[in-house]
Amino acid sequence: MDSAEEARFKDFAQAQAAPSRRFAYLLCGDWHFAEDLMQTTLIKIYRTWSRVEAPEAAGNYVRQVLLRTWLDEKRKPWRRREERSEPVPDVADVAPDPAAEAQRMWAKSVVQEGLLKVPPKQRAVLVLRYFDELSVAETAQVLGCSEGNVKSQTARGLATLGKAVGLLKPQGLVSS
Amino acid sequence: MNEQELGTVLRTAVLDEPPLDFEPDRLVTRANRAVKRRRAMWVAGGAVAVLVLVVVAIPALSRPGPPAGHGDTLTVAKTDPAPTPPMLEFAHALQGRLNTAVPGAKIDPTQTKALIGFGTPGNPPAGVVAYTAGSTPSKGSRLVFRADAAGTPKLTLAAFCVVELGNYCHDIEPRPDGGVSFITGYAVADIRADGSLLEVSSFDNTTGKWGGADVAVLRALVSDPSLTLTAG
Repeated sequence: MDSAEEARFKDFAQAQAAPSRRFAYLLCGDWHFAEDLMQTTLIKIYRTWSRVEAPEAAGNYVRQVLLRTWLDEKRKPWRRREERSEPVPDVADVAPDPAAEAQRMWAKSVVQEGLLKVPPKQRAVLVLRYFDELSVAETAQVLGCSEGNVKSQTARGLATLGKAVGLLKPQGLVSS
Repeated sequence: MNEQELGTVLRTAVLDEPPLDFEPDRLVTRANRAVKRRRAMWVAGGAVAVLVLVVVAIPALSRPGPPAGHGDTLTVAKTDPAPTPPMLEFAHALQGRLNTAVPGAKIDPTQTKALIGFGTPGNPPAGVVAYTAGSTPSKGSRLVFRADAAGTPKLTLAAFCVVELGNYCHDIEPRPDGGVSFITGYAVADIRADGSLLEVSSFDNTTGKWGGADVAVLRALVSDPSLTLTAG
């Protein structure tokens, strides 16, 4: 790869790093693992950079590679357990408002406990459609399946998540 | 939870993401290292494959396949294209003994052919004598004889029975005269006290497996002290 192409790749990687890590986090529920996934994904793309025709429109390609990387990692024996303990906070509390804090904690619980109970493909569909706001057709393209399959996976994923969320304890309530 | 709520929850969940410690330069360095490592693994894999080919395939190819035979004809094969007198004499001597195991066995000297590269490292064979027999021990089977003349360096059991060379030996029976007979593959072999080797194999042409000859008869044949090939 010549230096001009390398510079283009660096710009691309810089632009994709944060969104990719967020996407990975919603899939795996762990920021550290998400960072590993993002870096592995970008390294894979670096190796095939010459085949990326329009880097500025390669968002879905990045999602596709990341998704496969995540599924590959999940199959590794030391990655099979997905239950996560509560992570040590990495950043200062940005929302001193107790109501907003409760909302954030609730959202984290939904991701780290509820979403992790949803099967991987359904989880990927939910994240692609409701976080990345991809259309059914785009989601089908990323997942390499039919649009009908995306719709059915979405319905099943929402139902599974609804059940899992129903089992979560209300956040922000402390018994006295 | 409806679809809109889910979108809000997912976006809220990533609000407190930890700071991103990402350096594109570091990533490119890692990626280049990964590419080099991958390339090195391919080269190493290729080298191992070639090595395995050399170690496994060449000794296997250098071992003689049983000569093609048909009917009740017996074939003599040896290292020289034109059978030299000692080899033919040895072949005829073998034929005489062979008749005890394969009644009616005959030698066809015109079928004699060279088997180059057949032998143990450091002790090339003085000659290889091959017979085929159609009627016994089973139709279409053949017996392959191999004889290394006595000479230097002296062949030993340890030098011959090297599993990596495909020579797995068992049922080893030492004799008081210093010789030792044993089974190796589909053959019964005998290393004499003088370091010469006589090996007889029984193949079934159809199955490519043991031809059904009596092991005891073959063992008696190879350990017969009167059967000796002399160099020359």
